[in-house]
Amino acid sequence: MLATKRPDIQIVGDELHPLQKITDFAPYVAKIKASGADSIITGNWAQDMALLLKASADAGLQVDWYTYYAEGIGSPTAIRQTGLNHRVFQVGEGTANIPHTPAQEFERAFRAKYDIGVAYPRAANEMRMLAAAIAEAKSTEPRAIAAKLEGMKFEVFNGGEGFMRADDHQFFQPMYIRSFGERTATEPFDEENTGWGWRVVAKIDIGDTILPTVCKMKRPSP
Amino acid sequence: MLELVIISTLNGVQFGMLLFLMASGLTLIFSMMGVLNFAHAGFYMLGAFFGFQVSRWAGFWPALVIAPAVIGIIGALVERYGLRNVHRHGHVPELLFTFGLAYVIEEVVQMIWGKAPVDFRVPALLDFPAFAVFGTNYPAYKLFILAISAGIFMALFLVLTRTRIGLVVQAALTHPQMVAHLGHNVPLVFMSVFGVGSALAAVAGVIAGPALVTQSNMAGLLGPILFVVVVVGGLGSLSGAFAASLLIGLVQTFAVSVNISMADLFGFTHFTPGPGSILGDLWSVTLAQVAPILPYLLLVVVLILKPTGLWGRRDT
Repeated sequence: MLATKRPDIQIVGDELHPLQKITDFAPYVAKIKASGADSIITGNWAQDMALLLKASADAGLQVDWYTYYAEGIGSPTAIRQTGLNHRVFQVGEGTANIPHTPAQEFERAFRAKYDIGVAYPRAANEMRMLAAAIAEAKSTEPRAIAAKLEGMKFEVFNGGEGFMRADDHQFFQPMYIRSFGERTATEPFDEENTGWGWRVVAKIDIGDTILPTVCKMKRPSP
Repeated sequence: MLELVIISTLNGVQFGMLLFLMASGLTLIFSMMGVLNFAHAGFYMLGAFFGFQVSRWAGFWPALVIAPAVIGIIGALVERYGLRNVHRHGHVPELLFTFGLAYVIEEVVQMIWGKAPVDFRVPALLDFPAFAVFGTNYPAYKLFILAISAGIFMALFLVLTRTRIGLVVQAALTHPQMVAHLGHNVPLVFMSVFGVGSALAAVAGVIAGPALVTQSNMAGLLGPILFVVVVVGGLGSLSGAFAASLLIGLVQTFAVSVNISMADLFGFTHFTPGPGSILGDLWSVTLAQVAPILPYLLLVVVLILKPTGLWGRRDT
């Protein structure tokens, strides 16, 4: 797919390392450097994410980081320490600095109470959808709830409509790519008291996130 | 290629020295007191968190002195009021005592500082690249770690082998009654050794905290590798621990840059287990992917071939 869509992009390396066991990522950074990569895609999280970023900052590696979990607790602190200003990106379902009033009000109240950000809007979505399905079904019987969730259209946490595909029970919603760094006046929220926050750099509309499914779900007979 | 070799050597030596810094207190306590201290990594973690806290109030440099001093005193108290009582019952109660202590320390740290990492930064004075090799920066802070580790090794080695203090401490382990009859306070010697060992762990913590991640699971992550260092080096041998640290640092670092698997080595046999078969993973995994596990393999092999460790002199 990459060859047809972006023939100009070349994959120069691929690494797996044991999970949450590495103390020093310097050898891996040396390898990345030797490969000549200008961007890195990583699924690392928590300590693995923090140590990898620190080691690359120490070595003076200047690349863009495309991540799935750079919002996780501890990672914003680590990014701030490395000084990688708006060079660490993450794709996800939402973030605090999206200008959507109900979400930002919730965010403010949540932070006042728990002193951390709403890292996972999906958790709010799940609870709200469950409540909506129960209210609609007027029952807490699992099968009745599942039937109501199937195909449900739902206004998601950060605004915009999402829906659960009936075929495979996958949830689709607008996705956001954001970067972490210095904030402007329109970005009220920082993370982990670093002063830096997330800025949305691209929105992926729901239509672009949908792929066909081959799922043939077995459903319980009534 | 040359580039990767030189950079890997630098990285390996640096990581090895950091390991030695962390293991020095452990090996000191073991060689002088015969106590295998499971809580050592806990004292290392306490050092990092105390260092973080003091650096918030007074800056990094006072933290580097104050945190180890405080942890040293805590260590001495632990010996005086904990370890000394279980000592007379033999080695197993000692092991269990330090084992339990490790968990207590972890819980206390979580209660005070939480489970998330704290923002412990490299001091501004050392936050710059010292030099660059082939375009890769070598941070001044890593040079600082190297210098401190080398300094601590030299100081410990000289004190233990060239001074009267070292003589008394060494004799107190093998001939405690004789040393006591010569007028030395043996319990005080043990208490001091344990205190100094804990303080060394704290020094490692304060120094490694900003370079790595200061978090409540740091002790659990580091504990096992320290035992590898001490056992491979030879239980109770300071120079053994030093050599083993460097060996492990280099082995691990170089292994990461080698993408060779069993399939590459034995490809000529045309034996290829399917991806789902029992041997599938074993066959296709590369040396780079198992690099962090190699020290533990080394531990097992060394224990089988030379149970006293590579540089050990006695069975304990």
